[in-house]
Amino acid sequence: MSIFKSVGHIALKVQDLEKSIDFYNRIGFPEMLRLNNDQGKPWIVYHRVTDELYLELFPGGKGGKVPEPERTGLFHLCLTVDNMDDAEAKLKAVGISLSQPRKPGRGIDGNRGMWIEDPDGHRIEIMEMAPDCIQQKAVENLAIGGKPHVLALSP
Amino acid sequence: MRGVTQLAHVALKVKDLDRSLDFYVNKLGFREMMRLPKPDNSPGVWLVYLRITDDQYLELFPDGQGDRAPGSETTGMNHLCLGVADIDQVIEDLNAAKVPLTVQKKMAADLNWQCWVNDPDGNRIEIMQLMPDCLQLAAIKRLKAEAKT
Repeated sequence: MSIFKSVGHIALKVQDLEKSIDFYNRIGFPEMLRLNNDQGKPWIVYHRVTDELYLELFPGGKGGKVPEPERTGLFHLCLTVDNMDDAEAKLKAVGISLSQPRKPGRGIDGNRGMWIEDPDGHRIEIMEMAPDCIQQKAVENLAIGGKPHVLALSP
Repeated sequence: MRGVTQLAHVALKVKDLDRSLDFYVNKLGFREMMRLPKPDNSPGVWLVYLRITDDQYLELFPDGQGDRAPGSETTGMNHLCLGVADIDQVIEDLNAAKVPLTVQKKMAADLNWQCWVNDPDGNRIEIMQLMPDCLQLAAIKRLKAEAKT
């Protein structure tokens, strides 16, 4: 029995609040709420990912862009989509290009993926999960009381 | 862009994999789903998947550089929040697991109950019981109403 229900939100410290709000609005996470501080300046801006999961943007990020990927801390976020090609076309339509060229075919986990970055350089993976992907199988295995899977995959 | 179905996972780079697994699995109760070896077959683990829900996972990647996650003022992830149904029950479980709260239970400005813990790398984790009359759910209701008009 797990203690927790789900991820409630992810909070990001951002350098340029307006730029980040614009970015997350454009990728389809509308601003839903903002809380101002006692000077009337934004303290937290909330964007909706799902009805139960939000992104919180906090202005005033220090130190330039986000730390390098090898640094201890957040490595990346991942969003799922139903269709990778549609998502890429929709992103292009709102002026967002992939941060690295899309690899043809499926990743070593059997899923299709691509990457974008937000204005601060947060790495965002976009994934179209295959119905029988290794993650799905592992979760189903846990549900029937199985031991964690250990897989050897080659690129 | 439409078509996003879910936040699928959050990936953390961790300094000490065993220490992080002890925290997330033995103390917070996320179950290990699977682990993958490094794609180039070099020794060690590439990543471990933990189950938060059936469609939300936490990925732990070992060999994080630097002893601590960046501080709360640095550009980047400020915190991660986990939703709970009963915060008092969760605090009891955390006490039993000897996970100290870094911020005690309080009613926050958004009208929800919250408390905070740190993971072994210093990533800040908020624990939140969303209340029916909170600001977030009122905002979601408003977005839905706007979408209909």
